[in-house]
Amino acid sequence: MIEIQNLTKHFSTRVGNLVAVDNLSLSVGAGQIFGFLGPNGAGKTTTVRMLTCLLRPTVGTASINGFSIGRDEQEIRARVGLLTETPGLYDTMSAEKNLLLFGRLYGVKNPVRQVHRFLHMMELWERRHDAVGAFSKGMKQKLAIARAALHNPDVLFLDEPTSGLDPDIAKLVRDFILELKSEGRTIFLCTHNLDEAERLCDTIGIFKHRLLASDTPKNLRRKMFGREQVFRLVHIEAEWVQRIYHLPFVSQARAAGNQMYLQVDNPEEQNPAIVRQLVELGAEIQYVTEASHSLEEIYLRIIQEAEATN
Amino acid sequence: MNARRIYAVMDKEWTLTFHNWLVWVAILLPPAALAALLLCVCHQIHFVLDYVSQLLTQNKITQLKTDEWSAWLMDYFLMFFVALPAANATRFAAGGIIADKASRSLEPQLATPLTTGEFIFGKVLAAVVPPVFAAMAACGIFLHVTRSWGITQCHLLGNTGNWSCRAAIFTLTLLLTNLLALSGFIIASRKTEARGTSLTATSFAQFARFFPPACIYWGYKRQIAGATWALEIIGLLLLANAVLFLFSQALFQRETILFKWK
Repeated sequence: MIEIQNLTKHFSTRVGNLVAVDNLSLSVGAGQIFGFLGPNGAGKTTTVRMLTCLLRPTVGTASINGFSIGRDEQEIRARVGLLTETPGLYDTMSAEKNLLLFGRLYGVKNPVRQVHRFLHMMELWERRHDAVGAFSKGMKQKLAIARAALHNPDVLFLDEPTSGLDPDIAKLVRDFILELKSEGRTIFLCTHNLDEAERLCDTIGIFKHRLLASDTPKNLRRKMFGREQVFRLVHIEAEWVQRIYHLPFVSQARAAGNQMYLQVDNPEEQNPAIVRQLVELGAEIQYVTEASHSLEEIYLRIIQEAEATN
Repeated sequence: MNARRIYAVMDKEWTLTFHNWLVWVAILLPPAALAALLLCVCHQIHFVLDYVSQLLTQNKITQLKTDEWSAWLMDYFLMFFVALPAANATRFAAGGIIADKASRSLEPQLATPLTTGEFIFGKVLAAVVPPVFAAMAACGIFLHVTRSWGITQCHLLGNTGNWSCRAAIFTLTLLLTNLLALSGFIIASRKTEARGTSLTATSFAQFARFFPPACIYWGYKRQIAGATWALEIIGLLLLANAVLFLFSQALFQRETILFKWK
């Protein structure tokens, strides 16, 4: 479980004080996948570095499974796994030796057996004796993920795990992440891939130096767009939109082409009344559905609103 | 300090460094060449002193302390072996940290339970052990051959066949090399550009070549050269090593080393 309270990181640069992370507070439950979304340079990697005790926060505290950063650094490092933005593997060493090194550094019991298990799991067994320098980007990424999970950490920080991978390997990685979740591990996933975040994450946080929004994708969608209903008609008259808008439970109404978009609180109860009203007005309804908004739309709107505020 | 983690760091450094056979040549050739050169010099001196001894027995010359001459030379020659591994070890220590920075492999390592002390100890020891053992092996051969020629004494450490003398040479070499390797590590941990770092660290290590002969010169001049003097130098080096090790930990900024490019 990850608890973050007012985490802030300032960097002194030649041009002045740079605020990389500003007053970040959030909580990630045990066994959850948390998607940390944000544009490049938003401070995601800095946050991960603070949580893995690689950087000290300027202000604020955080704890991983009850261990505080800055105080219980050894305990935290032993319990978290980190996939860095760049794999950072040793090119002249074999895949097996790369993993064995980290098995020993993490104090894994019977590291050879554990390394072999992960090499099989990541489909790298046949190439275990080859120098990593000869590996493709996907193979290196799989090896780096194996390295992060080798010591069975409670919490995994994965920075762009599927970035630049072909669909086959990306799927293998996503399946592996879900398998880790099924084992009860907490996963903190930094990604730009919104489709992946939508598929994998229980909760997401949208971040640009500060936390702009954090919730489940479904709740964020509701908060941003409400429950927008789409009524497709054979044709629309402007008067109908006005009449429907005057219904007490309709908060917004607009038309686009042959479609009428209505914002309501409880579509299950209120849609039949709208349908009745439309029929009375002489409208011919082709179908009624709920508008779906992608995570990309949510993300872009939140980021744009934050930029506009700034 | 966890010995298993220190050994893991050392093993990694050796695997990365010694996969190229030319590195072995770089480690073994200088001590072998030095031993060969000094043996040639000793061989010549051995014959000259032999001839001088004959002149002494024939009373053609009255007094010449041949043993003192050879002991004095042995002091200097042994110090060449003491100073020899410093340059390679410094370069290794500096190169190890620079390579980690360049390959971005430092971050995953520092995210493990490896402490700063273990990391530095492992890296420096990995850099120090091969050159020191190569130099000591060459020194052992040199001593064996010179003893067979009857050159058995040195002023500083007494009989070269004694374990105390050999242990003192080994300790001096190890401590001096370690001191310089630690300096190389500190320089490299605070710089990023590989060529500049290698140059700075190696230039720094060159000072090591002057240190042992300078100590002996000073010892002779003040007439204190001897076993006690050697022990005092060992003590001083030990203290300097401890101070520099603590200093290297304080200067090793886990934070900035990851992203600050100097």
